[in-house]
Amino acid sequence: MMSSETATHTHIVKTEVLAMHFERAGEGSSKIKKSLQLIGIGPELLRRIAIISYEAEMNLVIHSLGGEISCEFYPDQVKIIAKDHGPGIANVEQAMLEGFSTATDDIREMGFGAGIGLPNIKRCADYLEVESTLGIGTTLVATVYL
Amino acid sequence: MEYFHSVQLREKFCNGCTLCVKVCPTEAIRVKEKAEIIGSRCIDCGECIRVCPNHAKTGKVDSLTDLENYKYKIALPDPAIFGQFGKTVNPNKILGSFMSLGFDEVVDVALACEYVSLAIKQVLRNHKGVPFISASCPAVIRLVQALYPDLIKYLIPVESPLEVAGQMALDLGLMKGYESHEIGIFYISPCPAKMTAVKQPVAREISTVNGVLSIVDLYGNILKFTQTDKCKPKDLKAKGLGYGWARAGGESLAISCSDNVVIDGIEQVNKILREIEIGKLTDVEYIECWACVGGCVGGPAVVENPFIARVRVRKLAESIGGALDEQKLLEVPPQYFDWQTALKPRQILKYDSDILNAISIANKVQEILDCLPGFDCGACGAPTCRAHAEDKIQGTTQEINCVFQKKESKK
Repeated sequence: MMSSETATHTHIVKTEVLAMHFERAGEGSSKIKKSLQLIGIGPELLRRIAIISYEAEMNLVIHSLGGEISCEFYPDQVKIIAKDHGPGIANVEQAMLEGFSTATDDIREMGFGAGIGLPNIKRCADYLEVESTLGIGTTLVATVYL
Repeated sequence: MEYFHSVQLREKFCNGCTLCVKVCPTEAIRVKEKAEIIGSRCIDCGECIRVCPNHAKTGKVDSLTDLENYKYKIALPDPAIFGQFGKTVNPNKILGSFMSLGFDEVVDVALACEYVSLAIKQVLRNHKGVPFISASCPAVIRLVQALYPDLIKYLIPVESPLEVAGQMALDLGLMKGYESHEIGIFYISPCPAKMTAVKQPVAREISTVNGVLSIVDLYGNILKFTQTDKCKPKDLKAKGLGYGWARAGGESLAISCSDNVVIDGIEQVNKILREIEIGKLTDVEYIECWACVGGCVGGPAVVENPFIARVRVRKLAESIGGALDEQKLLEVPPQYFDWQTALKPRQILKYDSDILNAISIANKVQEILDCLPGFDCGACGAPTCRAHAEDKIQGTTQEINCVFQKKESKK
């Protein structure tokens, strides 16, 4: 849709996410939310995007080997992109189901990994794409129309 | 719309340090020569008053001379006042001292706290499953409006003890035969946020309270009067739980909610609101939030150490004791607890109302930001490198003034 030709009408915020670093988990999504507020996104959209970016970031912290969370603003939509370098999701459709989780017992004991991350993102996004290759990594793109 | 805010700078005391800049939760302060408050962003939490070593910040309040404008003057002392004085001062005399100060009557706000507790209980009973955020601290309400606009719907729609007490006072004055313009109702406040709540209420057009005096300004006089025989003691009319509202946790105790969390201190409140926003707080029914550590006893316009004051309030509340009686709610007209207007978001950080302009500003800010060190040291007078870049783009600062950049260019 919006391509690089309209780059002046695009704003990108990026944060690196480290695997298992719970002390910094949420910093990327905080940065995204702040930017959204500065640009002036309304309350309801603000909250939906905050949830998407937080859940996506937590997924990277808990399940991935690390990656990057970014947010792209266009005049008509916002894209949250979470990209990691592995391990990849074996069955994406299954991962989208409420309650399905691959989180280890350790993670669950910490109160995470109840298996509501992806379905929660799906509920808040207008459009969700998840592409994953085992051993390579996962890219999640959640779109919210303004 | 022009926003009122109570926090002011006393210029002659400001030495231009940047301590206040760093603690402000809404990035509302810049230091050029001296600190400057961006009025549209200030939520009157009072963090800058507390942190300033030179006492250059203050909450603008009314003074005792303003009492002269009214024929019948009523004081509404916040329960936090009972934490301010030691064992030698009789709480009944604290209430009585307001008559010596020139008031004609005192309405104990703790009694309004009792009524508000009952009203909140009623709302909680009828709305199972919804988490509510307490709406008693005006600075918390303004923080929600500014940074968490989508959480406005979780604020419990029950008027604060301040307004309920104000209406009780007005009734009292009218009953004594005075016209409403002859009645002067003054809140005795521990903080500037309550001043703002009176001058520019969030859930009504006009406050029933006419003025606000601060505890710190009256402290000396109260102390003096309580030591004299001329000052006649006045009965404490509320149950212990009403007085307990002065400290963090007192509200939850009074509404006897067991699934609750109590958060005090604006920084922690900010954090918990963020968690609520992303849906992380699901197993809680009531969230009691106070901008000041310790609750109202920790307000920036009190004298006593908040931890000492907190214990005193707890002891007073326990010594009075008593349970809240739901029948008592019938003593007050139910509409006293209603919000008269809807609470609106207040997007104070927004770059521009046009989204294309806003995005282009965001990109320009990012360009400058890429050249700054990202230390967020505050030496330039802005709280973060980003805020400094924003000021440059929006023209409120003429040039980038970064000590580290200068050092670098000298190399």
